Amino acid sequence: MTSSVNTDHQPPLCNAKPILNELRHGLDRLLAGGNATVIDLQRIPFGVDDERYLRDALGDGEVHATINTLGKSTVQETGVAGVWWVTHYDEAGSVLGDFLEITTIPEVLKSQHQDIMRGLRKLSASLEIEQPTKTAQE
Amino acid sequence: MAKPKTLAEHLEHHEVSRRGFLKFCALTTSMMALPPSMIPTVARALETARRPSVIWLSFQECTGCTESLTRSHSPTIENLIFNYLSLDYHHTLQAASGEAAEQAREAAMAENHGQYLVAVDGSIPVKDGGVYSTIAGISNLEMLKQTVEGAAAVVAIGSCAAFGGLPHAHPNPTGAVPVQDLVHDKPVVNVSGCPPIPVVISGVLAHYLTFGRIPDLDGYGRPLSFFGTSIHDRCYRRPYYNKGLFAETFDDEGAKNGWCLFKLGCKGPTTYNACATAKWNQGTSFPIQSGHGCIGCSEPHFWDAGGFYQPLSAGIAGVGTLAGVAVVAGAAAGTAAGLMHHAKRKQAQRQHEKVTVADLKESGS
Repeated sequence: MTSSVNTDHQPPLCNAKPILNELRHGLDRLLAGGNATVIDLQRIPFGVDDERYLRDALGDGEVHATINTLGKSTVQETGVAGVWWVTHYDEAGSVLGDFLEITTIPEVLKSQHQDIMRGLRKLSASLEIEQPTKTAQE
Repeated sequence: MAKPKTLAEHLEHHEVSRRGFLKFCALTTSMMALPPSMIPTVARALETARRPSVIWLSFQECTGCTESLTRSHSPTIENLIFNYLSLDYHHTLQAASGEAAEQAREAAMAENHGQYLVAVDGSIPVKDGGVYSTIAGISNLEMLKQTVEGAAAVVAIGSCAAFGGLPHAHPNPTGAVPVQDLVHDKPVVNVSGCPPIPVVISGVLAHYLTFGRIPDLDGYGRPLSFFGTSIHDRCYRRPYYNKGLFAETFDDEGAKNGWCLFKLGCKGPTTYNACATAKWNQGTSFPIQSGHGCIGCSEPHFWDAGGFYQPLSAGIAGVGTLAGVAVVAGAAAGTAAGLMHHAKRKQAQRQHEKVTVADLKESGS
């Protein structure tokens, strides 16, 4: 950005470029040692055009996922592989949280140990109904 | 199933998946204005967090603080927080009234002695024995003393409870004082603002729920995570200030172009709050984004600090009150005595040590 006085009435960018640089460093870290980085976009001041600039710069990637728990969440890989845009909504569709995650796959997409255990119990229980002679795993 | 004891059990009881719990933790961390690197720590703490009892006292106030909270824009997550907290007394929200309501308060105090949290909105009138505001025949002053005695900590919600607010403004006919002038032996968190930002209220309660202690505070007793930077430093119009581009009137080219509102009296440079990032009305906007300068409502004595449209650079001539001077001093954190009181309170908060009136007199002298 030049230091000359802005007279063309274009609103100046606030934090979009620093965030892009933070992503660049985050990707370096991910490649070097596998450490993930999360940026909470709701705690960073945005000007009028920052979000649009950020979305344009990152582009759209290959993966779009939707999670339905406590309202909807969208998990999208951006056009920069390894940079994920994670948005959490409430049940009325209002945005509750907006994060950029630099990782191979966001944790919230993975099946969780406790949920897998619950699934196994459910499956065992349903099989028990069909095959009452088998003992259930508890 | 038995009544859930920890938050993880509570969520499981409501058939929220572990994935939902992770979402909840990410949002709670954000709500507390903690960095995302804290999410795993928050998750571990929330797994074993116990249900705290909250007694909410509404004194000399306009109910704006409760309105702010109950019209908060993230109902799912905040409902979970509030369903999980045991809000045992809030005379504006509860169905019971009169003696039945007071019995609920007394029962919660007895049952959770030493562990409950007291939230206060409104200032406390102390003139003429505190007769100017009473609930069920008990003066606010007496009720505060009674209720705080067995509390773990006190959260002063809104500028009236934190700094005296409108009732305290000149000439202060009821002798209104803030909570911190009356409570010296318990940790006091000031969540100022007129009204305070809902996410800041719930963020402080969530912090207590998560970590079992109050957050780190600034010189005015406000949580640093929300009040650590000025509105000006986080304002999206700051680049215009840096370039020297100002609106001179509310309808000139500068105003239309969204330039800095400093010359129109914006108090952003001396006001510490999270409006520029947390925003209002479902994250839609905040005053500066809507074209009006910040009025500094989260700072002490903002009512007596001169005109809302007087630029900060115009100085204090004509304001003529000590309160005005205090506000112009901004983050300088007030008088030495005030700092000493704060230091004592902070020490009490860390060590849960009683601070006596004599200690305070000594430190204030």
